[in-house]
Amino acid sequence: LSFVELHARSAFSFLQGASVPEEYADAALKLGLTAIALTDRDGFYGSPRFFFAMKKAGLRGHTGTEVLCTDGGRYPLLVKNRTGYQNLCRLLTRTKLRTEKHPKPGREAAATPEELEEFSAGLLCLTGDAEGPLAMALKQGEGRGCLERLVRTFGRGNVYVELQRHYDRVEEARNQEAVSLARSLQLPLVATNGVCHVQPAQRQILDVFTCLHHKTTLAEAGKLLTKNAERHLKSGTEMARLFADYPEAIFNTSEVSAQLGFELTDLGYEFPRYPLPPGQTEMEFLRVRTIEAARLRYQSGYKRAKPQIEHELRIIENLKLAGYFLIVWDIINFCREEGILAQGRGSAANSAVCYSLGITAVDPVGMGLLFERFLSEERGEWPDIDIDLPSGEKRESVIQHIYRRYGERGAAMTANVITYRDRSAAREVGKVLGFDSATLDRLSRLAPVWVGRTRTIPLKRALPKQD
Amino acid sequence: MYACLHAEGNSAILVDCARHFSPYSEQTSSGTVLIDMRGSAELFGGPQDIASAMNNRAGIPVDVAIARDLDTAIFAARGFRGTTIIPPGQEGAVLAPLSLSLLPCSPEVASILNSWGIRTFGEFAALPAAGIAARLGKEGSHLHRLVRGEGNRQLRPFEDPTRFEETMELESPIELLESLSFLLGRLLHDLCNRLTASSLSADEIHLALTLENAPVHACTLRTALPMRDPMIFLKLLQLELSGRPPAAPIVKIHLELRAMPTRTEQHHLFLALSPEPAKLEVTLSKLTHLLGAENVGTPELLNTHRPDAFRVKRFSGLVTASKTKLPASPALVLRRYRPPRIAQVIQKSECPVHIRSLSLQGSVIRCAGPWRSSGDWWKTERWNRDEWDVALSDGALYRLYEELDTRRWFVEGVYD
Repeated sequence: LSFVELHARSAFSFLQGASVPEEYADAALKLGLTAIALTDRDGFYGSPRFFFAMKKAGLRGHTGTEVLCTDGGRYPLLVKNRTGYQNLCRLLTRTKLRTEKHPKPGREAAATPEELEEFSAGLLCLTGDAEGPLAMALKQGEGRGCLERLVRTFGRGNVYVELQRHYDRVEEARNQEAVSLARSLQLPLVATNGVCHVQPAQRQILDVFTCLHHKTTLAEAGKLLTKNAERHLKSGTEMARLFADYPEAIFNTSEVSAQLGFELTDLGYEFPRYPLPPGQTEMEFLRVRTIEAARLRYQSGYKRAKPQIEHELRIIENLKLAGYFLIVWDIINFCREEGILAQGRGSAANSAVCYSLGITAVDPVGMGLLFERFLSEERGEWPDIDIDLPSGEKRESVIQHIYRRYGERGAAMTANVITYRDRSAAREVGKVLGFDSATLDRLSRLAPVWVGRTRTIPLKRALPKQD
Repeated sequence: MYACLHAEGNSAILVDCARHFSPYSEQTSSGTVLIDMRGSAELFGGPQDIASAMNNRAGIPVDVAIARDLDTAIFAARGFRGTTIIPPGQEGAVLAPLSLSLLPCSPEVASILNSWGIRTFGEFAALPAAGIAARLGKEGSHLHRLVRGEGNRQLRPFEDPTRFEETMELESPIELLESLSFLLGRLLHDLCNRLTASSLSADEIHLALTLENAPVHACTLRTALPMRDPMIFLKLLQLELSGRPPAAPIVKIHLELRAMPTRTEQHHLFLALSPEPAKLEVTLSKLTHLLGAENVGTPELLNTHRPDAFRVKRFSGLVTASKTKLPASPALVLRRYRPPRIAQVIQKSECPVHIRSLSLQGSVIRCAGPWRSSGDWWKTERWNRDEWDVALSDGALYRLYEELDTRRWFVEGVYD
């Protein structure tokens, strides 16, 4: 029987998953799994890394997420097609935008049942684990009503009753109720392991993360911690043995996987359209503006620069990036009109088109810079043009201009995900182990000594050294 | 009306004196004590009488000032020798000759006033208030009000750290518990009378017995509820001392009660009455004496996945409404064996098929499991086990478990 893990959380479910996406790809290869669906909590933060790691390993990485609903349930939603991805992105954006930046527990971003219905097209819903909608409804004795509602929301054929087995009595009692309801409503079963870490030993990391998440120590966490180390990635054989009494639940995982046709390389993204004079294409408009500007910029040196400009315009045309350059040009023009100092930097300085349009200040032709460092047909990557802006109100006025021109949902701010480094990790782990501040200081100072070296020094030997 | 006593280096005497006159007093600095004397005319007479009584009570030369507001009383007590009575409305006039050095102002303001040639309270008070506010700001305005006798300081009465303790040094050492009980009874009687006078109770007794040529014999007893019955305290001490008598004759007794507010309880209409605190304490004390403190109390489940984890906490005796919702249908109840019984188990395809232990033996008819739990991985006493629920051929349903690290099997209990 071929098994596909359809419910897995990575470290991008911040402090609620203990393995990074690449670990899943490596483990899937070793365990003989052909595909995994990553369903991090309330976001696609880990999906690109996961998808490309799986692709590199020759496996399929499905996209999904666990969406929190205002009814308190966490709905694992899997993306079937591009419409589903767009719907899920819109749903998440809407819930995040109305939530405060650092929400207090119980006030996190959550979708209403009506929103789930509005954005349900192209999605497939599992009934979830102990925090899922079905488990919560079963507690209230409303399991049947819950499943009927899910079928109404997502459509028959898009709802699978999820079974998980972590050797737990309560969970098994819930499974039996779920199976009975699924059979009476003729809904398919699907087996997952609700994976939170790749290796069994990583349960310890998950427990530490749980403590950090709840701002407590291991000694105080009690039942917040996992009951055992069974939430690791399991092979098809192991899962088939666990669900020997429900073979269809294993078989259905492949069926679900076959329905998940969406890939992150198929986003269908289009740049916002630049407003053009009637009858002109974006490329024609860019060509005219570039040549016009280049004559002014290069003056007598235009002849020398012309072949390079033509070469760059040809590549931009082939890659269909004319709209992108026009948008950047538009931003620079706005800054110029408003007297805001704006300067392109980075690899964009290798482009004569950028120089001509006034985006960058360095002449790449005169300096002999290589355009392909910025944009190449072979690499198949999108270019990025970094523009330095002054901080404060002027920067804000540029941001507001972009929002006005391209729509509130057509532009976005981006952010970095900060990860633990050796010392911060050592300090945080020390905290949950209940170390005092002096020991924490010593431990974090030792971190570079015992982490990241080929021959590690046991902590026990390193720690007794008194200052 | 407030009084201020001032005598450098005699704080203890001043505090003692203040307590004699009013329960509301404040020590503002070393050597200065404020007393709230409002409404005390009936007791002590007019201001002059109060001042003389304070002088007499203190027994040392004390500067006394009595005024309508606290700040004026402080300045007068610190600035004038002997007794100063300031009639209401005369504050500014009385304070006028005082040196500005008494005023608690910042170095900047002091320097400005000095440069203006202002040396006394009166000179400062004569300056226009609006001009002071404009030139010296908020601080200047505040100081200006003070020198005019218009301060609005509030009294911050200190908590009376009264201790309920008694010490008795014995002329001849005593050896018998009966004699000791007699003396303890007397001390407890006095202490409980003091508690009653203060409307307080006690929830802790500290007894320290100084012994002849031996270390101090000390014990601390805590009661579940505050009380002030000397007979109960004596009974508790007797039980404690009979279980753990002093090792040598006693030469000194020190007894202290920890005072607590007396507890008033509103009984719930639908709850059973709590046992009478005094009787409960004596019963608990007797049980503790027989079984050991760790075996008497209320069991409390610990917040952990570790099976059968609980602690015995002190029995409070309070009956409260349970917040736990009872299940609609009765759950299966496990009767645990403590300690669990070692068993020998034969397995087939990982499932137990036959069990033998000291008290039971039989073939497994049906089984469910394994139910796996592990935890406390950061401690030395971690656990890692698989549980099985098995129906044996004897008709009963048991819970077995296997310690995965040692591969040992146990029967944990039987389901009722």
